[in-house]
Amino acid sequence: MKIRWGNVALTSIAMIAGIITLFGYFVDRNALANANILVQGVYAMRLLLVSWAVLLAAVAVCLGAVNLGAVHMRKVFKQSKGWPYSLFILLGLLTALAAGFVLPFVGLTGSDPLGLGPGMYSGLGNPLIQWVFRYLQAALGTAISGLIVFFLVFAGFRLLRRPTWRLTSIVFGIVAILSLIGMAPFFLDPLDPAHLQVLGVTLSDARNWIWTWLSQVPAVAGARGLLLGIALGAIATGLRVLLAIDRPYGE
Amino acid sequence: MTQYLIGFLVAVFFAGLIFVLSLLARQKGAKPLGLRQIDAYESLPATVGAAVETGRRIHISVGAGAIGEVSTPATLTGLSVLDQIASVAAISDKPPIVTTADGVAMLLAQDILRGVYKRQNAPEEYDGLAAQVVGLSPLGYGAALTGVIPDDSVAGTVLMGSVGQEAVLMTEAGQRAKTPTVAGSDQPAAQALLFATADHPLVGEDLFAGNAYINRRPEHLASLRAQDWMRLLIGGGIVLVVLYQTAKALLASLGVALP
Repeated sequence: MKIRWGNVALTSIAMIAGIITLFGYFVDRNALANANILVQGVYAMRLLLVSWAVLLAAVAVCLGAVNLGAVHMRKVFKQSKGWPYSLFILLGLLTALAAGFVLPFVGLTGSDPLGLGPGMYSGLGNPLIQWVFRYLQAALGTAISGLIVFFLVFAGFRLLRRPTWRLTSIVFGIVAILSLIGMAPFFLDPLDPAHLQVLGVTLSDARNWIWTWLSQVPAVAGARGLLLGIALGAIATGLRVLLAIDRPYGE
Repeated sequence: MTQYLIGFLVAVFFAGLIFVLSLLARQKGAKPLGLRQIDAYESLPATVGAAVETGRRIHISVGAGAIGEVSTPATLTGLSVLDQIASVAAISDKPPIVTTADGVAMLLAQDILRGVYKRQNAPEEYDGLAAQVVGLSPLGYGAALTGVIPDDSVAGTVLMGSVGQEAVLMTEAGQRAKTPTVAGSDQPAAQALLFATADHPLVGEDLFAGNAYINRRPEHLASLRAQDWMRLLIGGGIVLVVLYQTAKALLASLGVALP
């Protein structure tokens, strides 16, 4: 069997970097001064590797933006389906870039040429960038979040309309209805008939007890079970990369 | 200091368990490990096959998570599954399309797609823009996918990665285009949403079992077995602690003190 030394080198570098970074997380920073030189070295290497990773990730964000622009430029030039939307995206991209680049250049021409105050010509202080985030990105993000509620209602309705009902669908439906009743603003008025006692328990108390039990016992138990499984799956995936069983970094 | 040592020992034990079980699974005559049926993985060959036969493309989403953050394992799982699916779907008239919200994941996806075409002796078929960053924020990513699915003649979507509530936008687009969606996320809230909206949802740690179900390599099956053992150990530990604390409280009420 032919050994591909390039692959061996790549795998070795990835394994060593991964293991050093992992071990670095188990070093107690407060006890670092009393630790031996090996532990201190591992910790220092971890910090160095993480700082390199942050730098590379920042470059990758720029490449991502270039990719985004290239994909939509191709759509516009080929006039593919939905190309006018791509044009809007490109305009938005260019506007955001211009907002980030123009003021710093203006700031270079004098100490405070527009009277915005020191530090307002670049970075997060840039009023143009702040305007784009506040009035475009935040507003659109809120609008999309609002839409999700409607999609969820439709999805829940569609789930209950499935031709074959499974036990999970039935449980989902019952819990959804109970949750809606539990969170609805009923029974708040003390003069409401629901506050009349039946066998020593009011309807309001019964509703609160069922809702509290549902949300704090089965829901929390299920969520913790899911989280435990997800955590173990995530750790196993990471360890497989460290053991070079999975190699997502090339052929 | 103790918590760091415990964390370190658990990591070493888990890694050792995966390594030893992998070695045992690779031995000649080793009994293959069984897997329970997961609907989402059972439906994958049909989804990919339909894309190839109808000359449309398969859309693989590796989520809005980023490499280097908490979402790294989920994104890596999506990328591994991409390798398996692209190997089959690359023969379609329209190549698979990969979407992400992270530059590093995009670069890795491009590398994987390039490798797939190289293995199939068709490097000229590789399209550098098949792996796309469609949005740089989770909500932007979800909103952009509503356009990708109907506009790029997508026959089916496989979402495996880290997504939040924005996943609903994608599954809704799939429903409107009448294309199947196989979807899993590492976020419990998103899993609940996907359970209601996706055709084939992945629940809990099913997302991380993708490699084992698709390529059935002994190492991946062994990793699943190691996870099961760890779950049993942790679950058993939790039950023991609960029993101990209950006994301690009961005995304390009787005037007997446990350490």
